Amino acid sequence: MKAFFRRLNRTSRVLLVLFVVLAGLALHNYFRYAPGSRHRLRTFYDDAYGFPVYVNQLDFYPDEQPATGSANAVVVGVGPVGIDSSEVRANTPTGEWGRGPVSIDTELLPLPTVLAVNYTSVAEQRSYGGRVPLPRTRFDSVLAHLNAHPALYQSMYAYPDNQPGFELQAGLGPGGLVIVWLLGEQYQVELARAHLPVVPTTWPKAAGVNPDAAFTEPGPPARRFAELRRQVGRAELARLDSFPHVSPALPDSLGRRYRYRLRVLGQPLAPATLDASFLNNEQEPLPTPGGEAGVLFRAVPDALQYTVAGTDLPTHERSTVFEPRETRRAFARVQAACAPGEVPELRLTTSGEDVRVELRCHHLTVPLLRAITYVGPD
Amino acid sequence: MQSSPPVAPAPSFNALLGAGLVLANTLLLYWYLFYYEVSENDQLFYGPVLATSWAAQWMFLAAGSARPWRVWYWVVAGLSGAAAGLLWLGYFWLRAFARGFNH
Repeated sequence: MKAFFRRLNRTSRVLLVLFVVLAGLALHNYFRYAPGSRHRLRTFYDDAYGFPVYVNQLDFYPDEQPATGSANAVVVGVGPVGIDSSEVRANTPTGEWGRGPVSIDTELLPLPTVLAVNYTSVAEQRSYGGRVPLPRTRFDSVLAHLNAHPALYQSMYAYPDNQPGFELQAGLGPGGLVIVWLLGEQYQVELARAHLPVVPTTWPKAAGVNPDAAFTEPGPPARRFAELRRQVGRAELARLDSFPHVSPALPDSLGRRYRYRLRVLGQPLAPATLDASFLNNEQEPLPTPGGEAGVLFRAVPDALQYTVAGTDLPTHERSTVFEPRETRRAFARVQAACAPGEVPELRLTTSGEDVRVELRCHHLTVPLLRAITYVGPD
Repeated sequence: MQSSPPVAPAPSFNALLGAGLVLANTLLLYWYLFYYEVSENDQLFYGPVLATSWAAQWMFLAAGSARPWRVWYWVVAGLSGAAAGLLWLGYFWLRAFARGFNH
């Protein structure tokens, strides 16, 4: 044995060391391997009850990550594996509206054990953040049932080679309610449910009232009853601003109505519907291109759903979500610039795949730049 | 006729052992990286990664071997290096222009 090693030159020794290292790695891989431990995952998020949410972070981690700073810190850098939304967020640096696919459908990934999420409920104007543990035991029971009754669990999408895949959907609701479902064509299994804590934010503020005063400005402890009563009154005022008793709907889109004319120009928008408010979801047909809907008197539209049908275009269903504060601001500006008796016009102009939305009167045109369009699948 | 000076024949032990180790290492690398469940994206790496490691090991072996073997090892290293370059080009071409519908 000693003679054998003495006969080796430097090259052979290096190659032998490489052999030993690679053999160790391959053996480790062999003993660690468990069939079925990695799955094709596709993840979505959605607002749970049709309320608009603004998502800053939604990441499924395969392993619990050590908390950096506070548990609600927005984590942008993610580990080597894991479904992270940073790629999707790349186009919208601060976050995104509504719904959308988050990530991966071809990678084989271990089932995530935690969901890190940070989102803003627009209806309540509050942000929620935290981590939702996804218990492995729950996954295991679902997988066991899946193996026992494969016919019940049809995969929603056709993966290559008919390999099984899972869809995870995170529903984000008002009150910090987060539900994670495993989805399929015929089934929807709830995996986890959590109430996330409120993340203090500095936006948006009603005039003179800090909605986060209860969280950020606790104030000194009361010494007298009158002082305590004042503090409770202040806290109630701060809370009432964002937690109305009746419903967490947007008071602005309910209360304030505008008079405007809706006009569609450009390429044909075929069959289209218009959501006119957050709450009652009036589905109204859009006027034909070149036409107009007459003078409407209703709340600011918060979203449009329509289909673009062109000769060379794929027919996508689209929904455009307006930033409500910008829309209100634009209405205020245009109304101020209107001549007496003039009705402002909300104009949709399609050119190619783009839809331009602007609010205009005779003297002033305000483009709605922060409209975010989601293009659905074919 | 003057005979050429006697040259001790190069010991082929290290050269042959090194060649065997190169083959074994490539097989082990394949087992480690690509044997168990891999995605379609990882399968695209089969060719370029294995050819690159193959070429690098042959180059290393050729640099450390004596004359008759040295030449042939350089030939193998050059061929596999050229193949690795072509495979990397093909890989990036696929990444850039021939993505599947769900990639």
